[in-house]
Amino acid sequence: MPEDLELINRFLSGDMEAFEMLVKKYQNRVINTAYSLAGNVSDAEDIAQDTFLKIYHGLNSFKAQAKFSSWLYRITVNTAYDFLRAQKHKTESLEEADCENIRAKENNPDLLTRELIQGALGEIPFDFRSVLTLRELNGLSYEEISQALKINIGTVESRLFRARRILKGILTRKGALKNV
Amino acid sequence: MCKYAKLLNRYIDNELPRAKKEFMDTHIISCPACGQEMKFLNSLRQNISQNKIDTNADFFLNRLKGRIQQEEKAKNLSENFVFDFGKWTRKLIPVPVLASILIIIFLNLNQNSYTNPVDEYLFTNQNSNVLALIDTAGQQSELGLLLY
Repeated sequence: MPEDLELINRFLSGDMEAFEMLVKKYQNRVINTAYSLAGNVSDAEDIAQDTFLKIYHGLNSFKAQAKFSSWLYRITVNTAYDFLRAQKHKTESLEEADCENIRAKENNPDLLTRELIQGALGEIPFDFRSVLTLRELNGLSYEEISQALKINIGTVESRLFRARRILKGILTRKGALKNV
Repeated sequence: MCKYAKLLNRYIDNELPRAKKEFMDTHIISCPACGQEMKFLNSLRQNISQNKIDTNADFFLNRLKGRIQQEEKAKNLSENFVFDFGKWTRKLIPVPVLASILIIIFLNLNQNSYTNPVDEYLFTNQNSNVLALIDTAGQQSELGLLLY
């Protein structure tokens, strides 16, 4: 697949197919990032759609000095933030349902259920959740997260540390860390 | 919590320089708290990284293309609407504009007849036994007529 910059230049010259290639290349990453931030599939797809629409309209303002993926992640996180704020999204409470989900995974004790992970992620502040998602889901380095979110590396490190602390507290409270 | 807990986070994220990484390699073996924390961090990573959804890529792309086309259509429509509106304004506006221009011209003509108040004053005094009172702004305000 051609490089991002080549696809961007082709799109800016009017080649719609190049934009489609960009979407295909990144859509899974964007959708899953959005899913991790929003907590449900429907919202995740809407956020991803909005993100790519913003990319479509904003590609002419993209500065080639930056990495396209960093720019894309920033837009994804910002779009998710706006979306959730607009919806006054409330993370689903797991409570009783958790027990069922935890039991359902008894064969693989290290792997928690999707609902449990999403519920716990939904309880941590958005700023921490976004850093944690970019690190754990997308495997970005501190430097890349710092560029994507326009925060310094020290902030990335401290948010990651606190996000993990909070998450551990939540999972412990829910009784999900017996085997971890 | 071990005092190296924060360092452990950078360790698991592969963000430590070589010397510190080597220190942590040995520390984890001898520190049960860090060993346990390491287990948690690895588990968390495994869980979050596998917390993915499968979506229909073609459906997503088609929906996106549809939205883009819709936006382009709406944009064109709004441009056309502005154009049509302009056409209508070109047809309808001239009537009031023309009327306004005529009124302004008429008022100006009326005002022009008093544009030279001094002459008017002299003229009225000399020729018609009528005294016109002229205000300081140069506009005539006929407060009244005095007959000799």
